[in-house]
Amino acid sequence: MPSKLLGQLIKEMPFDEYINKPEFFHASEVKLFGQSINHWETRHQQISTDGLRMGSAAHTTLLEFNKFSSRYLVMPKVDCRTKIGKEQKALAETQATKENKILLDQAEWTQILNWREKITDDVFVSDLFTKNLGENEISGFFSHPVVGVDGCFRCDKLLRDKKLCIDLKFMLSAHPFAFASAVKKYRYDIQASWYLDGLKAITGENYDFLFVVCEKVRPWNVQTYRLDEESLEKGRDDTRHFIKRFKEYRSASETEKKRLTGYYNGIQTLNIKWY
Amino acid sequence: MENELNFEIKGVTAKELFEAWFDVKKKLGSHIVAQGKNPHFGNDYIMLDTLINRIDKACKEYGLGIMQFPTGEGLITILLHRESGHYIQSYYKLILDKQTPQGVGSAITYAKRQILQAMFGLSAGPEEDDDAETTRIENPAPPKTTQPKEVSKTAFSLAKIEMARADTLTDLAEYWGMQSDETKNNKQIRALKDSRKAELNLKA
Repeated sequence: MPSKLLGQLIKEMPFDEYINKPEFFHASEVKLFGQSINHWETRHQQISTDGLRMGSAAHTTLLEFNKFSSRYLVMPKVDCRTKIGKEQKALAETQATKENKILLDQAEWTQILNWREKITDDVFVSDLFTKNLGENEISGFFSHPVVGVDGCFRCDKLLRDKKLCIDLKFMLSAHPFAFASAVKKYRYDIQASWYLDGLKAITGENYDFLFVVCEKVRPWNVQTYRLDEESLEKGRDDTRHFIKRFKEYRSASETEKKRLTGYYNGIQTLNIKWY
Repeated sequence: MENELNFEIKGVTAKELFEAWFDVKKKLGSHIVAQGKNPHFGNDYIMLDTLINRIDKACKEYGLGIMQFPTGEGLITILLHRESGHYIQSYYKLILDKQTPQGVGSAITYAKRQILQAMFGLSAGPEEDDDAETTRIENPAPPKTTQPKEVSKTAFSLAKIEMARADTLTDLAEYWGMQSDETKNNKQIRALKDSRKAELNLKA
């Protein structure tokens, strides 16, 4: 029976609820299938890094600031070399655990505010954030027209009147070379095409997908990118390919499954190009 | 290079044809923006597609038609006045660089462009006339910002300059609508247009 969520764009869906819908594929899962089935199988064991924690806090600061205090606790500046400082830190950690919040120190909080300042100062995207244009954190559920699975996505910002979907990225460098390399490494082409196909399936309209990339370190440049049709098509091709691989895995016998979970089914001969 | 050019006017009187030619010439002006750059010689040239688009539009308005027929060794061009049936015919002998189908194709394209330009006295170089006559008939509005003349006139950089002048989505759509299919199908220029569209969308 098809889910009631299919074909809907939903506001204010808590992230935990969105992420825990196993009947819908996420773009991040498709990317994991592409790495190896084992990457997908062990996805819950992924350890949260400082980068992820800071990125998530920055998202909340920029997109859902009204929810910041319910998710994060900013620790006062303490000197951990002193006994008092250590005690204050321990106290803050206890409070964060008790209130189920993520702890940020003063330096991290200052850094996040700095990112926010740079983004709200950018000539192209400032209005998005200072005027809070569009809708934030919109969850979409759709039936993928080509790969034949149900999927979901969550837009950082959705501007329905302008047919724009905005995604925020926090990276060490926002230089075009660095971002192009990140697109390959993190397969942002799969993400963008997945979201665009999802939006098309739900609304019937062609959207544009923009990456607002904010540098996490000096000089904190902000740069907006979009992918051309050829790059999006590559994302679509690989999405089809990776989902096909996953379907094959799911329908395989238990013995065969073991052969399909890694990178390559069999022994591979390599040619090492030294120069 | 030795070119043989035969020229012939048919009809009892070509008055109507000449009148129409003057109207078209007035509409086109004497300069057309070059959108191509010859990588070997570094000179600018008008892309055939753009040229045909512009001339055809103006000719149609004044009842003129152009026919071009390759004969194997040359190219026959006929400028025809629809109502009177009068026409001007010319013959251009093709000079081939290479005796291959590609060589013939290239010579025909070259000849077509040269003849069309010559028929209406159009130049592709930097605009120098004082009265700013221009063939940008579809967009008679003056440029919104001045650009240095030294700017490279490759299709890409020209498109970039023109798109930067578009301050609204409507301006951009209007500019895009004027472009030839060749320009529209150029991946880089299309990506440039999509980026500008996104910029304007964010600003709007």
